[in-house]
Amino acid sequence: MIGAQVGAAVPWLPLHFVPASDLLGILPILIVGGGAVVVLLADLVVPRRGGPLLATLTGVVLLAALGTAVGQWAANAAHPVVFDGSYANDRFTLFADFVILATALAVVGLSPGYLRRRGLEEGEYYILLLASVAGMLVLDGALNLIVIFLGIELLSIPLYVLAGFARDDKKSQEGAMKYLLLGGFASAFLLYGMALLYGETGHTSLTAIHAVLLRGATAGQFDPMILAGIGLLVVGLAFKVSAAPFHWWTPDVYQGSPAVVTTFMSVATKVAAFAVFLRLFSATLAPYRSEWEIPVAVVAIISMIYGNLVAVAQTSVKRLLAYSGIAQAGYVMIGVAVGRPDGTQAALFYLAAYAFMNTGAFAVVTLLSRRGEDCDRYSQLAGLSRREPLLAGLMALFMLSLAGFPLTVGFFGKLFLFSAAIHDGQLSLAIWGILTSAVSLFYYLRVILLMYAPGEDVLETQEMEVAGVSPEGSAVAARSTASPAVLVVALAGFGTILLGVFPALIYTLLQGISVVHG
Amino acid sequence: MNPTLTLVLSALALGLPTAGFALNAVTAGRLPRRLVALMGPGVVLGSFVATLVLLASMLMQAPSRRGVTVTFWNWLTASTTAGSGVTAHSGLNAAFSVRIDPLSVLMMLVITGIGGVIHVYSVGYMAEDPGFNRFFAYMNLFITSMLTLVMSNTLVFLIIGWAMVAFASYALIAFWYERPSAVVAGRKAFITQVIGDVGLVLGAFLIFLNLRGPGGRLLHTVDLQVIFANVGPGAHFHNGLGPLGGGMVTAIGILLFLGAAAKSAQWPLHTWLPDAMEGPTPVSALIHAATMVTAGVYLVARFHPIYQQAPIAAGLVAVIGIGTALMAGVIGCTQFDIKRVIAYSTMSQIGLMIFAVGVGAYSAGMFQFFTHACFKALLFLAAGNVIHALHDDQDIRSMGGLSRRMRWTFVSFTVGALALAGIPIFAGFFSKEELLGQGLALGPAVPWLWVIGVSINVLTSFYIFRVVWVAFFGEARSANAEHAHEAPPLMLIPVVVLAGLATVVGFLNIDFAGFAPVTVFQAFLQPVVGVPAAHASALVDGMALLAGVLLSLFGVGVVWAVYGKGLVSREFIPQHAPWLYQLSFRKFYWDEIYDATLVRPSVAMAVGVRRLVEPGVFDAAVSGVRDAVASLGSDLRTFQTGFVKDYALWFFFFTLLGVVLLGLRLT
Amino acid sequence: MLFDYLPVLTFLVMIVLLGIALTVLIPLVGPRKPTKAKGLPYECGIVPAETARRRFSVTFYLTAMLFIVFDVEAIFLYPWAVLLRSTLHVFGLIEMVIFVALIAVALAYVWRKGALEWD
Repeated sequence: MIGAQVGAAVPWLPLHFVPASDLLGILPILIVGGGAVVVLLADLVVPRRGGPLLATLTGVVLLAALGTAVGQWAANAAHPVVFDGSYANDRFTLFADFVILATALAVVGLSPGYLRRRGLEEGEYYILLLASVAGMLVLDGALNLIVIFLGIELLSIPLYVLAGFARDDKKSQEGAMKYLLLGGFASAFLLYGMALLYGETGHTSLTAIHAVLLRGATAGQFDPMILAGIGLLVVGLAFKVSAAPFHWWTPDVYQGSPAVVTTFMSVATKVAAFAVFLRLFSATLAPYRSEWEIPVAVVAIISMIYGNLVAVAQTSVKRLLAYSGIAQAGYVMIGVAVGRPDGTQAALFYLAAYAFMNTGAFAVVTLLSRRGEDCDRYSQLAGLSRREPLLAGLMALFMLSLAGFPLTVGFFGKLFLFSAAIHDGQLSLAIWGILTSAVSLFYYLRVILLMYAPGEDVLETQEMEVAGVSPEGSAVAARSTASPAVLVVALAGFGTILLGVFPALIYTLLQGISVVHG
Repeated sequence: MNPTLTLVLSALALGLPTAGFALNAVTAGRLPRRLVALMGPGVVLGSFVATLVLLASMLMQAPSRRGVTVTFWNWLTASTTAGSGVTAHSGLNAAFSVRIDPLSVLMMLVITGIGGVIHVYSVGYMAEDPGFNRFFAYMNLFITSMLTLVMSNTLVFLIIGWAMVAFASYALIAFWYERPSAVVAGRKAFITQVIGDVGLVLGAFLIFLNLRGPGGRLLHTVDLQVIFANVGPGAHFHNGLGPLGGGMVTAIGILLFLGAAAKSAQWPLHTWLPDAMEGPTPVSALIHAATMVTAGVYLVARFHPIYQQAPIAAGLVAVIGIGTALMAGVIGCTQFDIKRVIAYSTMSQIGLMIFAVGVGAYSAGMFQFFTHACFKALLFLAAGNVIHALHDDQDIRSMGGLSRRMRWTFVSFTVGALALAGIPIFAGFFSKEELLGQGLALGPAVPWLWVIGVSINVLTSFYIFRVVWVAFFGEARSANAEHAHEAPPLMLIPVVVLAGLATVVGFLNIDFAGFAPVTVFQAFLQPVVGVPAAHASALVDGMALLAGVLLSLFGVGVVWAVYGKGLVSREFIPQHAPWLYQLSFRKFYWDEIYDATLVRPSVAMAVGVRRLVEPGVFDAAVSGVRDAVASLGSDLRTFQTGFVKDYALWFFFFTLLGVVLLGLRLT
Repeated sequence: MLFDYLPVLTFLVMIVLLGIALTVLIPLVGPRKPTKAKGLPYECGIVPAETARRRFSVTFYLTAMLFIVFDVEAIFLYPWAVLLRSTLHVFGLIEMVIFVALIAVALAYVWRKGALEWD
């Protein structure tokens, strides 16, 4: 768009080149991106082990971005599309921004204590986190194939590094390597799909592509090359949201990455990737809906079945949550498959719900992690209710919510998705969703049982004594340094219940949100 | 009415007892007693004040504008998310909204007013109990539940309140949980309530699923006002519930009444009420006199548009009401437990109210509810004083001569008895005679129901004055009775206040200014329940009134003859009609019948299922599914080899598979 | 429509065939007279001093990578400079200032973190 304007005879006032409204439209991104640079510079001057200071700075940056996004929501801009139609700053984008920024804030709250306990206090952590958040913010409003790719790479590359952030931990290294290789692999598919789409339509703008597709579809012609392109897009994006059968990286990477990174990755990445998924499929590619409906639904069903079934066989907490994440991706895919505004709204609601319950669950894992290793084995949860009644109660709450129990937010998340599917006539999606939810109870409840079953923490205590840790466990010791982390868990629990009782608090926000092209 | 003011007031009325409960529950007994003693009754009385202000602001309005719906929050909105080009679909909209109209305000007045007095009384009665805080937590919860029930404007919250009342009553009846009999009684009450809940919920479902609006569109609404607007007269052509008296609307009426019968202890769900006297006496007064048992009356009155469409169901309600009234009256004559006598009298009086709302005399039924709440609470609390003085002895045979030792209590109890018996100038006279007079005018073609209703008067005055005579006159028949002392002021003042109310509230109904046939209560409730379809002529009314009073006096006379002067032997009935005495004394054998036909077979079946079916079928099925899922999970897990090359291969394989399938689709 | 891609397909097939033909034909047709000098690694005509399979310090790679990054960025300045006066004007100047500032931050980071020190 610069080129288009540059040719004209323009006055030598720079603001005319990029209208202020455009800059305003991407203000949250600018704040986060600029914040990353500021944190980087700060990292150079603060003394070593300046973790809390950098965390505070990062938190301020994220809060500023969140405040800006809230302000923009309240202002409700009439023309939300900026930069010649390549970025939409509409309510859809802003809602995704809220979820991403809030999750990132929660992660920043969890980080200082966790990083100290695991000896990973490096300033780069916060810089990379902010860079990744910037990529997510770019992604969730992207209206152009190139911007989409830019966003995906900007969010992914810092994550590759973050996944391997525990440099002494072989699992972390292995996970990062796998993530990098497979991520590159998936990017290639995505890029190929975009190339086909561009090649056939001659546009990278989603609006223009939509117009071309609409023309073809109304004439009853479905271009096979475009179909292939859509198929590759599904593959590439399914990788990013970790939907089966393109989920292979997920368990290894979730398990290997430091717990805080996994928290961030499992929620924020999913939200951003689903934002672009929803925008592409329920708006841009809507004319081809009859063609992609079935593949997307199949991916959703496979994810729900595979994720829930394999989760049953896990003995590692983080892998369990990874497979549960695969299954949850399947549920959100229902919203993508339904398409229409109610599908989109249901998917957004579920993502917001997911942010609460999954952040909460991982946050508990984070709090329980000790020096040198994460809290990952089931045995480390055994008898938790006696050592840490509050944390155990909250963990139980998050598990129930993930399973979709009433009076938790997870219940309404699933309710809205399934009812959207039923109203759309896609009964099979709802049925598979309900059946696999029943299966999911099996492993979620097992975690609760583990924490509350009597008399199995003897071994654990001995083990800890051998390791030189007081039997009261790390969390108590950690509490003094981790009060923001405890606050994060408590807030997540509060939100899980509050929204489970008053889902309208969020659902009314979503009323009327539908994906636009501008 | 000012919507904001109404919102604030109704939120206060509902919120104060809730806050009281929450505070007591969260602190788990750590609050000082002194504070709880202030807070427990305080929140209820505060709620009463808020209700009074509501009443005042309502009375300032024209009668047609006295109904207001206030929405607190939209709990669940799952409908009409229609974007462009998408057809709207109806769905569940469950707002938490309350309906403030004469009917609900009347109920709220009684619940918080009488309830407040009982709370004050409890401070004295429960003073020595270790579970003081727990008691007030339950009591406040009960008030909250009752208020939710009567205020709710949606089926959803009506059912929630309905179920919460059941739970709170269970907790209160089984309050002394160390006593096995109390626990059994609480369980019995709760199970009976749940049977009623099932009826109510099914009825509500039928309404939700079938109700159609104008044009035959399915409404799928839980909003009571919308429901009633669409089942009114003439609406049955489109309302989906079928024609007048049709199967659907009759089924709904009967199902709703199942819920009402469980709450109001009507046959066949009546057996829990007398057993529930195991709870502390204030609980009996609160639950079984003033509030919970009248929820059934309220339900029928509230759903009167449906009963007006279902004459068969309404007739059934009336018949069951009058039958229960008669049966309970007969049983009451032979019981020896002072609280049980009052309990059966409650059952009997509620039966009369149910009869009234069944035949369509809604305002008369509600007026009886109002006066009954006053004098029945009075009777219970006065009985509580007696029981307290006799160290928890409830048998009237071991009392006697208490009129000299407990003068105030005696006078109050007698006022309550006079009001219950319907002796002129006392509250019960006005309400009962109006009720019976209207019943005569409105009732089914045969006046037999009225005849039964009037003859119950004999029984009523007999059994209550029998208690008065045996307990308060003569010589003390036990050491406890000899050393009985008057109750402390904290327990006496509420009783005296109620005695005053029981004397005067009857006059509330008389329109002193107009001398018109329309009574004050009827005019007050008219915006909600309408006017009765027929009026008895002045002559018939007068005759009915006279007959009622004479029969009541006759009952008192019989007591005087039997217990006072000994003109007739006490053994007269047991000797000459032993079957009748046994029938009455054994409470018509309902407990035995239920035990033999329902309880024992159920227990036997449960044991059998537990031994045979459970391990073989359900456990096997459950563990079979579990094992299958687990082994499937383990099998699938082997795909996750941990090698990047495998992952990439699978990735590529599935993409290729997609491409091939796409190709097949295109060809 | 797919027909349009026929030249591409032809091209691909030709390449593959040519590749196979050359690899198969050359050993068959050409004479082979190996000597010791011919078998040595080619180092622009100089006789190799030692074995090529030597271990480098990892710092070498780090420095090399950093060099490439900054080198490419420096190359980016050239076309910008050519077009600045004619097309880009102040806007281009501002953009480049931001860009260079970011590089400067990166350089500061690299420097401060000690990536430029050999040991």
